[in-house]
Amino acid sequence: MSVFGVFYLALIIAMLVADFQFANWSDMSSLLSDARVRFSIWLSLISCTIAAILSLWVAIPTGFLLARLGSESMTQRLGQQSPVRRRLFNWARYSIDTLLDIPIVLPPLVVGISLLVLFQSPLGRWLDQRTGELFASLGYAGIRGITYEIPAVILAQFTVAAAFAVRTMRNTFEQIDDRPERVAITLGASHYQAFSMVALPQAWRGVVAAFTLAWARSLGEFGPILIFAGTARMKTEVLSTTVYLNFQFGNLRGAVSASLILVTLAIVVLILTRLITLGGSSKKGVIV
Amino acid sequence: MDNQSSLLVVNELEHVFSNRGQNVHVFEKCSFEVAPSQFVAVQGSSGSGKTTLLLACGGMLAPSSGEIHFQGNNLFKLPLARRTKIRSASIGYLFQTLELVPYLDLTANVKVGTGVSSFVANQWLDRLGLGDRSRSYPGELSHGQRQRVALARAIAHEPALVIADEPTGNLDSRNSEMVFGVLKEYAQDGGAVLMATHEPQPATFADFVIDIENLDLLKARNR
Repeated sequence: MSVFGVFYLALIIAMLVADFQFANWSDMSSLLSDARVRFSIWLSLISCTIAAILSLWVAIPTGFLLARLGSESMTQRLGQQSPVRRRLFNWARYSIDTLLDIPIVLPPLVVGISLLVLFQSPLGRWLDQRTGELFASLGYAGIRGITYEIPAVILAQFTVAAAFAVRTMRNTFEQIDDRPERVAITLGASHYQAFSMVALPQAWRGVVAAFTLAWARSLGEFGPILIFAGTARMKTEVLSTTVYLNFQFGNLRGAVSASLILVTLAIVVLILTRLITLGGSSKKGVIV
Repeated sequence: MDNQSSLLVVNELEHVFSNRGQNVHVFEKCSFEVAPSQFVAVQGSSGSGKTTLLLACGGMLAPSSGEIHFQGNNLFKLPLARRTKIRSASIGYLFQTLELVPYLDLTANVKVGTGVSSFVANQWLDRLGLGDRSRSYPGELSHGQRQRVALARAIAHEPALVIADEPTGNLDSRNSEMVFGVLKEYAQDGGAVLMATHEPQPATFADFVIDIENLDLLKARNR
């Protein structure tokens, strides 16, 4: 490990130690006795899990398609076609790839503002209204739509987390040899069967990694939630906004205690992921 | 045997590939027919083109010239999707390289591509002497056992034609007999079998033998 690597590791450890030294158990217990904080913890856990599941729904098929469209066998097949078709195909693939990276490179606040503007458009307002009606029919009349409601929290988390999950799944499928899938198709499996029966079982470690990454990203998401969902206590407040609100009101100890809950959750999830995916070679899926 | 009753009709088949600027003729003017219930062996030394011929008959490798008709369809005049559909429904293929999926158990391997149920897959594994290994993975088996799994996969969906590329290549005599027995029984039950082999006396089990190195001498020996 390089000297800079050691310095970086020391920085991470020093930050965590400083946090734990700054806060004490009485701060933590008083924070946890606050019903509003307990609400934000529960909302964080639930919204992150929903956002991560939704991210996987998008990431698994999208990552698979992107990986296979860029595979050697596809390149060979395209090589037999006209140069114009080949160029068009590559252009389309790179465009989709770039578009999917946009939520990763955009400043978080811009993601929030873009979502807010989108839901001010006629289509967005229509969706907002229909969502409110749907929740009312389900008996959750308190959720009146998407913007500045719990669905906004989940959508803001999902928008960023899904991009990371797609990237992880794409890397996973790229490292899995596609020959067994091609054999399955040759033997008569449909493309869906080859994906579900042959490719997916091989990618389970990548799926766990993508879920973890999406969950952890969602947990740390703040900017888009601030703009698109607001920071209403007992309504759209998640742990990251608890840190912000405590800090805004001058309660630094409360902010650090809330941060420690975030840090603990993140560490627990990372350790669990490592344990679940332990024992496989790098070819059997990817942990990023 | 006439074209009406034949399942597979190979007509004037030739295959040529280019190697370092020189054309290499794998086989020339190869013609034969396979009818239901026939067991046909393709004989030839290593590198003589047995696998190439079988891949062409399975609709996986377009020949340089000639025609292959399967169930009345000119295979290489069909769009790829239609050809794949016909192959998946009516042809079972045992690759020389086996092509088992290493991370799927034996039952799942037999099910891949064939669409058969776990019950049917296990029945075939049992028949080929692997009933107690259905939850094992290919890497845990000997090469001979893996060959039998590949045979189960080729035959489990009961295709009209089973194409087997050296299915007894690494088997001892007892297991070879078991494999020949299963294939013969399959042919007797109405399915056709086209098999590449390096066995010295293929005529002892095949209805007729195609000697790929002496195609001029190709003759049918219907029993």
